[in-house]
Amino acid sequence: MAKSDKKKITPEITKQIADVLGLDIDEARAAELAPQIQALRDGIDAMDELELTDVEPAPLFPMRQE
Amino acid sequence: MDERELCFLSLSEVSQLIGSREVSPVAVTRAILDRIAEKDATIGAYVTVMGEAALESAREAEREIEQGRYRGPLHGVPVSLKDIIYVKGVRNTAGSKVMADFVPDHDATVTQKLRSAGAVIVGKAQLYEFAMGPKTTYHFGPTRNPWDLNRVTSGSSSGGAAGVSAFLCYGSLGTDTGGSIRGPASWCGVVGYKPTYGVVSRYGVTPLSWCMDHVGPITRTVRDAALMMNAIAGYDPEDPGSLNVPVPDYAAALEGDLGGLRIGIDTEFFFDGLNPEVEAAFRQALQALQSAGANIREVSFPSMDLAQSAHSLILLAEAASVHEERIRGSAKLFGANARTRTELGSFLMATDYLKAQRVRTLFQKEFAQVMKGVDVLATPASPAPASRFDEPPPRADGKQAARSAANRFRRPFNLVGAPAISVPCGFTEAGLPIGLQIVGRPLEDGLVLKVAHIYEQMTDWHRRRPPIG
Repeated sequence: MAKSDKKKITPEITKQIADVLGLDIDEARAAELAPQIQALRDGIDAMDELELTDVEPAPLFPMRQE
Repeated sequence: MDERELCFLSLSEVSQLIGSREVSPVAVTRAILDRIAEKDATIGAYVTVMGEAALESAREAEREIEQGRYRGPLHGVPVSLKDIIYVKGVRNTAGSKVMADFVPDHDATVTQKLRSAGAVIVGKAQLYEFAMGPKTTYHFGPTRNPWDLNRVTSGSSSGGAAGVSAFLCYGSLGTDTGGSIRGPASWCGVVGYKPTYGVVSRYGVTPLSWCMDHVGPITRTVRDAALMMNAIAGYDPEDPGSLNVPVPDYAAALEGDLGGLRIGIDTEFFFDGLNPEVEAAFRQALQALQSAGANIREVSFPSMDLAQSAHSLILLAEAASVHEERIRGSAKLFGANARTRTELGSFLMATDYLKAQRVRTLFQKEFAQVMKGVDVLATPASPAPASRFDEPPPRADGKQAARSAANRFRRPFNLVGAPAISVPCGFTEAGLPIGLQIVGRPLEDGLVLKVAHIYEQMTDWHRRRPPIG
């Protein structure tokens, strides 16, 4: 899906997801968080400019030795 | 020496006097506790002062030294611990109301190591709530910058840096997930050292991000930091990220010269939006390093901006996991910043987190490639000097607030687990400290400390005292 086709994060969507997650977020709080979540999603989309096809995630503890 | 003057010595200096029995640990500890009583209502470096326990430790150190059982450079020396590092039986607030009554039933590994070295723990130092920046709600009173009481210290190891700067302890252990040791050190005019990931145990430390949390010292000199590293470094099977590698003598690594050393500087990312006074101090520091024999080379990190995003996502996701139960059950007890960041992290998907970890892989490769051509990197530790409490954070680059932008110079090196230090490199006209950051390859901690030490010895920035008396 192209970035432009993605649905924007609204306070209503934020509230619905918060309820699913069990977070104590009312409508006013959802309205505060929605634009910040959208900014996060935009930042995540921006990472798509990197070629990640053959890149594995960094391990949590990269240099572990016994 | 007047006992009050003891407080103004460095850790190394007071250690020598204790080791030679010219002063007693009890006298030193009393001097520090008296100064805390006199100054900390103004500075706010401590959440908890462990006065009686500290004096008992000092008496024990005194007995041991009198009996010829001297343990080494930290024996009898008063230090503080960030209030997320466990001390058995002492409350560990993590700077939050949520954990205000939490009392651990065991010491952190670094606490045990400091005790084994004979250090005197005088208290638990203030921090940003749950070690999260770039701003905070101080639930236990604000920590003020000793160089200007109207300014913040930066965080999250705020009390450690302010306490060392204000001579309320000789050293402190902080934690650094995105610059939380180096940032407050640079804004408070002291040394802050983040060692290689895995060199110092995180066991018994309230986590923020498992893969990016580092424990390290805040001190007045680089030698002091090396002495603390000698006490706290080492493999710990209790920490799944701990490295089972030989522990060098960090103090011995300080000796040598900079002849032929290759220092990389990135004039794009690290000069973008840089405060002019910080830039001038940084350029002077580079000249000093060159005069000592180092060669300066231009380097570039094309993925730096996306690495910043990856750092933020990893931190938010891991913090949301760390505090999952707390944010569901006690969200209203969180301060505004900590609550927002924990809630935002809760909205991330597994694929978002893994994408950030894949970007981290790319940045680790990019960092390794750049470091093939240089021995260390030099950057300003922060793009601007300390902000005032009562002003909106100044814009450093037109996009990010200064305290957030301050992190951007430091957090990339948490992604790669590289050793990094902030050492004082000047002051603004208004008298605010400026820090120089030196970064090395993972496990080349000794080289980073050596470069910082040699630079420090060419200057007197670390000898200046803040105007608090």
